[in-house]
Amino acid sequence: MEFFDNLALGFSVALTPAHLFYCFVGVLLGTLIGVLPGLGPVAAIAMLLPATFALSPAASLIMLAGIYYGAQYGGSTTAILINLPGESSSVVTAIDGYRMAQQGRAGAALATAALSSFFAGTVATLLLAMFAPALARVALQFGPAEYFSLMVLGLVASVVLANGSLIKAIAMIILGLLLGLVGTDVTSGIQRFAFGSPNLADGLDVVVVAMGMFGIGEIIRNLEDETTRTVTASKVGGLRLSRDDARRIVAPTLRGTALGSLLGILPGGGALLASFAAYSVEKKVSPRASEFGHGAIEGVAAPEAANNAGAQTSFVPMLTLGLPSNPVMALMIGAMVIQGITPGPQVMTQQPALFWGVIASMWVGNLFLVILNLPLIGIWVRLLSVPYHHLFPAIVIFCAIGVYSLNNNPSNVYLMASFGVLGYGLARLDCEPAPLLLGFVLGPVMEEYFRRSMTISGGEMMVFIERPLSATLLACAAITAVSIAAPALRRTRQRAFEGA
Amino acid sequence: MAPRSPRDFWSGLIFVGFGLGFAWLARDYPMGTTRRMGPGMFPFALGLLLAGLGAIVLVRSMVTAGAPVGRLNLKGLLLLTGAVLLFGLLIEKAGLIAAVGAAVVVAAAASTHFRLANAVVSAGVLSVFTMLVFVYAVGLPLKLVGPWLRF
Repeated sequence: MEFFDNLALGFSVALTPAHLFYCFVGVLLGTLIGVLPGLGPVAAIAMLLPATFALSPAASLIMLAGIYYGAQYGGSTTAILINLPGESSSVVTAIDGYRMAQQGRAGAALATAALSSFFAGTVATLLLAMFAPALARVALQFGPAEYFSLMVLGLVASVVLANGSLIKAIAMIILGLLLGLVGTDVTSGIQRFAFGSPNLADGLDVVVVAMGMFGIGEIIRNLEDETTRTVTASKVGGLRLSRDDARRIVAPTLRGTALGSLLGILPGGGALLASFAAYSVEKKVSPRASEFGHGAIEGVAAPEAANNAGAQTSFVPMLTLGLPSNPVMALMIGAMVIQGITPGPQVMTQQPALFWGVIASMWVGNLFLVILNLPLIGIWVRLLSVPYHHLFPAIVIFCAIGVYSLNNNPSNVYLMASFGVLGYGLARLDCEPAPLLLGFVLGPVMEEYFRRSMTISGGEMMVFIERPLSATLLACAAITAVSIAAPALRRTRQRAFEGA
Repeated sequence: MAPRSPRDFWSGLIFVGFGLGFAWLARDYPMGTTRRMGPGMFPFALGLLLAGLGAIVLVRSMVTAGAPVGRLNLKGLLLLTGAVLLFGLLIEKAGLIAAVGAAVVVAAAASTHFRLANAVVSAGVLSVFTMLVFVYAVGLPLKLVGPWLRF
């Protein structure tokens, strides 16, 4: 059967010693990043991108993917032990997880998080293997008009996750699209917005933009409020789950996995939304609703399953359509482009070993995380207490060396500083950097699809509405935009962001 | 009339500025026809769209109340960008060790927990660390000591 052949191919790639090694390094670095305060996966992946240029495409994507879901994992550890979610997607885990830790059941909470994540990761890998080919086959039928509309939908949907005003988030997307156009235009060979500088002729590098906004900008923001956190990590205690605990986490894990897988596939969904949704669903259906917020083990199992499943399935739109659903995926697309691979449905058919290898490696990586982290928890706890003021100068240095080494040119270092200022300023004005980065990656691609559609249609704008599939995608985008703006949903969104 | 939502006001202004700036620059590139779009058309349209959205945000800031901008972390802004710029200036002329050392000390000064002695120690540690990792282990072609510091 095709399905098993694909998985077999994937595992034959993922299980080679070199790929096992890079997967291991990825999840290890990811966990480290998730545990360390104030360092997010976007900045971390941007820092490590230049280091992966020398690797094969498969090895580099396997490692970067490992960093992403490893960081999710490390983030939950800090959420449970010190009530400080390392990642935004583990914000909800902190509610009941930290309460459990206070009651001396940190070990049980950590084990629950690990097991439900692993289960969700396994299911999501299988789903990915099942649905990705179908989606890619559909996408292969797409013409440029459909692609353009799909990207509009993807970008609009991505602002579901932006905290705050819809108009500002869309403006950030457009600013990103424009910044993406800087450099030599492929069709005409004309340099745009380069101010005659040879450094801008090749365009801005995604690493420079990401590190500036998510690395440097974030640090300036974190330093605004430097209240010394007294880090007193709870005692971990026994990791074994009682029979009662084990029984209680089964259903929430299943529900969380289902919800997470679904929301992850949707463009703009992803791990954050999934964990919030899973927690609120669980709170509604659980017979122990009253225990939620007071250390209910279900409140750890469901969001942890959901965020891991969502993190995994958010690779689907990226791998099959070339559509990033979050900033990490935008960087993954950047990594593929650097490796000479054009993201899109043809990746699966032209590079099956790469495609299936990356998918299979995710399951391997999840296994590593469980085996690694439960016994190593003591080390992570010690790392938790690294004070931020020791950490951030190192992040600055790694960012600077990273962008400098892109092409051994100090101009990238200066550009990164400018994006740091821009990112900090905009963030202070409630404009999140994530939509900008998504727009940045898609800018040149969208222009190209738009141009081609116009050429095919003979300059007729109606082409986007006349083709049924394209019209459907645009209609979905419009519905999404309207529903985000609708008061009821806006309130729910606000509550979700403030709530936990 | 004072804006009722300063954060919206300033972000709107920034969007209008960027939008008009991009649109204005894009006028210099051939527009082409809709059938054969030139390199100017897409950015010109996007620039106007951005300026339009910025204008909406601006108008809204006059009507709907919002949070004040608050104090900017000017110290952090200056010291961190300063550290990055310093690194860029020094990396080729003075070499990796000096660039890392200088940037670490300047960056560390942005923290309220800054102690010069501590910063010098972390500068030393990070210089050695980056040298070992990036130059010896990863093999990046970085000069350890640049022409400025060679006698």
